[in-house]
Order: sequence, then C-alpha cells, then structure tokens
Amino acid sequence: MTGKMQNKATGFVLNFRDYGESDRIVTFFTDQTGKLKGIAKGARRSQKRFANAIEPFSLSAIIFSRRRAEGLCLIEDCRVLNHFPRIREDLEKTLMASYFIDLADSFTEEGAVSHRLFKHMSDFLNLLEAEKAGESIMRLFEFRLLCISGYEPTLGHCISCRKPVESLKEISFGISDGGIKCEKCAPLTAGRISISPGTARTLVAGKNMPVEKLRRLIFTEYSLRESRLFLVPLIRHITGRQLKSLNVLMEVKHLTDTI
Amino acid sequence: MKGYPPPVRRLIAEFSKFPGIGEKTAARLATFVLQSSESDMARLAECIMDVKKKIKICEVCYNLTEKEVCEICSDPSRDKGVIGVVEDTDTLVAIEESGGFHGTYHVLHGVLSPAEGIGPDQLRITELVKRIREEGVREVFIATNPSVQGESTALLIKRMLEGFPLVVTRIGMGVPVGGSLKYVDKMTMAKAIEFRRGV
Repeated sequence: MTGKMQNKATGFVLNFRDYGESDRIVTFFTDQTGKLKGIAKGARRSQKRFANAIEPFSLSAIIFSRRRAEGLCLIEDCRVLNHFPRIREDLEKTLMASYFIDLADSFTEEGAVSHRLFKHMSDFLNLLEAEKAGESIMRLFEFRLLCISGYEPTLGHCISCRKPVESLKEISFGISDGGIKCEKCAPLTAGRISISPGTARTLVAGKNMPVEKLRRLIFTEYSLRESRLFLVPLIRHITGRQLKSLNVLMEVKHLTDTI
Repeated sequence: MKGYPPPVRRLIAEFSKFPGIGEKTAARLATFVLQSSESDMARLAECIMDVKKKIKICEVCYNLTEKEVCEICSDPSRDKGVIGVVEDTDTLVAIEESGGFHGTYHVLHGVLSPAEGIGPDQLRITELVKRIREEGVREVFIATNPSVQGESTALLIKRMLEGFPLVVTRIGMGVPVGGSLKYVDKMTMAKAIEFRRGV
C-alpha cells in the first residue's frame, strides 16, 4: 500500500508557474473537484505526459494523486482535450479567454465544486471559439459569473421600493448596494453610476438564456459602455483588486487602437 | 544547518537564493567551495563580478553585450534587413547555436502574459517598431515560443507591423527531426500539417 489514491478529472488550466528546473505548479478548475492545485513533475521537459496540455484555458484530462487531503496534489498525467485553436490564433480572443480564467480563479476557492461554473466556462470558451470576440460576450461572462458565484447584482427591480425595472425611467447602480435604485429612492450622486433601464433589462434577459441564443441579444454601444461602467468596478469591489489580465487587455486595446 | 560556522551558513543562505536551489543543494555547493582551491574560487568570484560590472544591454537589439552594441549587431556579415524577434537571450543563443539564421535579432525580454500582468509596455515592442521604421528592414522573423503567450505576442507584433513594406514570418512548428509521427500529440500534428512545405 502506497497510501495514495489515483483520481481522474477534466479541467481548464487557470494558471501555472515554473518551479525548479523542470516542474510546473498548475491550477485547474475541474468539473469533479473544483479548483485543483498540483505539481506536474518534469512538465517543462516531458513531451509524453504533458505535451501541450498545460497551457492557459486549455481543457485537459488529468490524472492526479494526493497523499494528504490538503496541499498540492501530484499531476501524473495530463492530456489535452481541447486547446481552442480559433481562440489561440486571435489576439483579442486570447486576451478575453485569459480574462475569463483569471475571473474564474478569483471567484473560486480550492476544492469547492461548482458544476454550474464549469459549464459556464465551457459555454463561453466554446462561444468565443465560434464567434467574434465582441465586448458583449465579455460583459455577459462577467454578469453570469457574478450570478453563479452568489454576487448577482439586482437589476430587475429597485432594491428600495421594489418597483420593476420595466416601470422605471431613470435608475442608478450603487456598487456597495449591489443593485439598482430608482430616481425617487436614490438621487444620482457622486457614488452612484447612472445606467439606463434598457441596459439592466438586456443583462437580465441574458442571465439564463441558452448560450447558443446569446447572439440574438443585442447590446448597443451605449449599453455595452454602461455595463462596463458598473460591472468592472463591482468585480473590483468584490475581489478587492483590479485583475491583471484586464489591465493587459486594456493596454493592448489602447496600443492597437492607436496604430 | 546550525552545525556549520557562520561564514558557511551565510554562503548557504546566499546560494539558496538561486533559482531551483534548495537548502540541501546550497549546502553541497558550499562544501564544494570549501574543498576547492583558493585560486579556483577567486576566479569564480572574479567571473561573477565581471558579469555584474561589464555586461549591459545592446542599444540596438537589447541582447547582452560588453560594448554599447553587441557582436551580432556590429558584425558586417550579418543581414541587417532581417530581424529575428526572440523572447529572451537564451532563445537567441539557441538559434545562434543552430547556425541557421544570419540576420540580426531583437530581444523582447518577455512575452505577453495576462495572468502575470505583463503587457506590451513591459516588452521592447515599440523599440522594435522604431527600429524597423529607421533601418529599412525587409523581413521580421518572429521566433517566440509556440505557447499561448508566445503566440499572442507574435499576433500583437504582426498587428503592429501592418502597413510596413516588409514580410512577417513565424518560426516553423511541427514534428521534431528524428521523431516518429505516430507519437506526436494532436496539436503538434495539426501545426505540422499547417506549416507543411513543398519538397
């Protein structure tokens, strides 16, 4: 008896870092065990056990074992199931997929299983693989992730008087409130972000819509801007930091826009 | 490590700061220093100080050099019309060892890495564009790694060079020389087919 048990899982690579001469410490988000952190011995050299499988956002079949309940597991084998080639050959898609996994990493704890989050990641990476890298995909990923993680912003009604958004003309979003308020309940002050009821309704409509139908959801440039203006600060408020991948995404966008 | 006298303990602590070196390996290295002759260790210390004092970055290609401009950039036999863009000096050395490239280089000192927050501002990409504008380059050969980070860096460079009258090429990817096709993973196989050429 060696005292270690071999397990199998399917997961997306969230991040990795080189360790020692040829090892890698990898974090996966798996369907079976949630966030899983392990050491892949010889991963930088072995073309047999880890060939191309440890790459950001790749979906891999993992064989791992652990001696203790906590701490790093040993990644024994990793085989790539989907490396999302269309994403990898497009700069905007790669940066967006990198942001998705960074977000997923920030909203999960090690060992906490979430089949909904796994499906969410799978749905949106496949959507990104098939569709143009539009900003609406990014905003819907953020919004649905917040809903899955228990941080759903209340957009369907005023959180004070509970009037439905359909009956409201002017609304604003408060980051610390986590929801919208009508103009009567909260006048637009420095701490509140003005959004239109149409933007709130579009996001609510996209909450449970099957991912293959999301392309029918039309975001105007205006509603994309409004969504960005409250979702990004809300995520920063929840995670306590601005995600590095979002900074890189914006830096590249700024650079390529000025060419 | 309490059994070692303080100077040896200090040496072990210094060796432990090296990448991939743990305390036990550091202790073995310290023992080696103790057993070696004084002249050998004086040479080692001199080499370390030489590297720290004399090595700087080439003002043209950002390779390591002893002078203002590196040996490759100042070599008249190198083709200045072709620039090989590499992630780091280790890659440059690997390409030089192959003997197959006769142009000059541009060392980025990193690749795009969203997870680590490394964006274009931390790389030498704008310097590359400036160099191309000034030097009349015919070809930019991008030799970053075939990883997600390396590929996205190559895509960014390609985007930034759109509109320049030059050819942008990418290092070939596929099966290793002497390898067997049946053992190649599917991603490498797909790349090998994509990068196939006439015979």
